[in-house]
Amino acid sequence: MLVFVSTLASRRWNRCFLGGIVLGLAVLWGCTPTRSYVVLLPDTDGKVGTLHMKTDSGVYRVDKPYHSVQSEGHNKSAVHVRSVEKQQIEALFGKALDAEPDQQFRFEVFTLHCTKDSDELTPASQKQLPALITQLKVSHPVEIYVVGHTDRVGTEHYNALLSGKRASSLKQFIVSQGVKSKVIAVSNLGESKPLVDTKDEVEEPLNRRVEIITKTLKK
Amino acid sequence: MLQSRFAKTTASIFMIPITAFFLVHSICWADDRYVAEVTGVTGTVSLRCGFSTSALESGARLKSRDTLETGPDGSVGIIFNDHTTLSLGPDSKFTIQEFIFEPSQSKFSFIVKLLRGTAAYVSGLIAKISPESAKFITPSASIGIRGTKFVIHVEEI
Repeated sequence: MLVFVSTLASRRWNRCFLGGIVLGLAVLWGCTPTRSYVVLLPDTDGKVGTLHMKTDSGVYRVDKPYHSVQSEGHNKSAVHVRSVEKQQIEALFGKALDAEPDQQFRFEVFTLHCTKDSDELTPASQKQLPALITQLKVSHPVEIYVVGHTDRVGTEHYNALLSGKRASSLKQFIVSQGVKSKVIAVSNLGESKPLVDTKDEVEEPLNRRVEIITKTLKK
Repeated sequence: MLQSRFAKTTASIFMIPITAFFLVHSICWADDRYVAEVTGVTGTVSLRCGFSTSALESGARLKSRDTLETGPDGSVGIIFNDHTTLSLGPDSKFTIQEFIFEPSQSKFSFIVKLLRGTAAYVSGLIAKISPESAKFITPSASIGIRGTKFVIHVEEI
């Protein structure tokens, strides 16, 4: 088809035609500039998390409820962080919010810290442990995720093993205290998900940790 | 001799579109595991996977790389396997780019894309267990999520 048209048309028309194809493809590939607008909201329990919007012009953090961040265009992104009226949210997002599925579960995250290059808890975290065990027994989580982390001292492979050891030791302890083993899953994320970003081989006590994520049925 | 060469050429000419067709479709079939369930559909909502488009119904299950489109009267609610919930408003287009929730293998990934329209998002387990593994992409930005709820709007300007 293209060959047929090319031979028929003059050289000038040919160029126009090819230009049209290129332009058409550009539109098809999504080159039309777009605007992205995000508003952070409290969840059903009133909790507010954080989000980071990454655009060509940088990273913008939002951590307050009813605050928005907006990015425009492709090459030159204009980004604004500002607060939004609740009526505006209803007007623009009402239909999407009405379609929201019911939240069946509640999630909670507990963090315990470990001593350097070891699966032992720090004295401060050891003190928190009895209250955590009581909470686990009272709230009856459907699932418990025990996730080990390390700082960036040592190789990635070594830290994957160390974080695994931290998570399994804590699981063992929780089970010894009477929490059912079958609801617990263990993961090791090594040095890949630090709480505090550092350069490689830098000690960071806050990153030596085990996180416990519980999933409980909402009443 | 001449005939066999002719047969070969014809065969290869036919094989190209057939191979291309299966390649495109294998993108859709590559991963059979369901990653999410549709909880409620209002108005027109369609599901696109590869070249095929079908009307989406409540209770349908979704896979990685599925694309959802809502009409001017449409909206839809989705629950992912890690209990992340997501809903789309009218005139929206949304793709599940990658979903991996394998706690025993320590593998977590949640990457979705809103191409146009409105959506409401509430974090599930992936954003709690492995925060940097949860990403919401738009044509002009990438949003990293740490345990939260937000609404998002994408429009052409």
